[in-house]
Amino acid sequence: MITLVSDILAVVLVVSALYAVEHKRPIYSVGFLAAFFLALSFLYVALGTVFAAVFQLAIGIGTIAVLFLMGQMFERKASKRTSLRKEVRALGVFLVVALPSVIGLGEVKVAVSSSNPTFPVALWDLRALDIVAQAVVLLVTAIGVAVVLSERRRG
Amino acid sequence: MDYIILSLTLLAVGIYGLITKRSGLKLLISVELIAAAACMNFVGFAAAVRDTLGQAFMILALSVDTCIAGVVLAVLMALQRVHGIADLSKLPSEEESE
Repeated sequence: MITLVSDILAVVLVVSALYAVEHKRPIYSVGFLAAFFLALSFLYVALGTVFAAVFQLAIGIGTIAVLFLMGQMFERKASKRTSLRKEVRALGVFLVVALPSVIGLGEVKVAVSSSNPTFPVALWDLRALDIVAQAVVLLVTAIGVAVVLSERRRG
Repeated sequence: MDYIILSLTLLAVGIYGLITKRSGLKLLISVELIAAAACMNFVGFAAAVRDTLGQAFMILALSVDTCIAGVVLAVLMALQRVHGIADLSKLPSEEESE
């Protein structure tokens, strides 16, 4: 089962890497790079290297967030102002996604010390979930800004 | 062994992008692919020998790679602002800019 998942992830990795390099529009290239990082992180989980997976996911998301904005900058189209309603809606989506990571994660407890923790232990007891949640918030913010910029350019 | 082949494939894709593409963003993506391939080697060997030191090296390499990406992005942004171009082959040479 794990071998099959690893094989599928390997195929996804190679295909998304090729599309990231070959696609003509920069924003789609960055999207394929995001898929590449996600598949790589899942592959690390399948390998049993949990910390590498979490760090790959967190750092990958940060990189993708910045690259999304750069991709928007490199897309050249006519610019027009977005309506206030759309901006308020984007801010609302950001707040809804951000709130659980701020207040919903419960009390801090760092108790487990194991040389080879399982994925749930790393995620819940070693606070890896916090890192991933904050990274997701950053990514959603960047995607929101990218969407607003895209709407502004499209008119 | 499978992971080494996969890593080599990703390295080849990254080198192909570095050779054939001229857009700054594509070049950066190619560098990211090469770095990811190198990190995959660390993790693959760490998983094979069941040692966490490889993961530590991978995290270090990933951090350095992110710093490099930040510097390159800053350079690209400066290029876009000053010259208004994203294609590095259209950059004016040193004599032309003087």
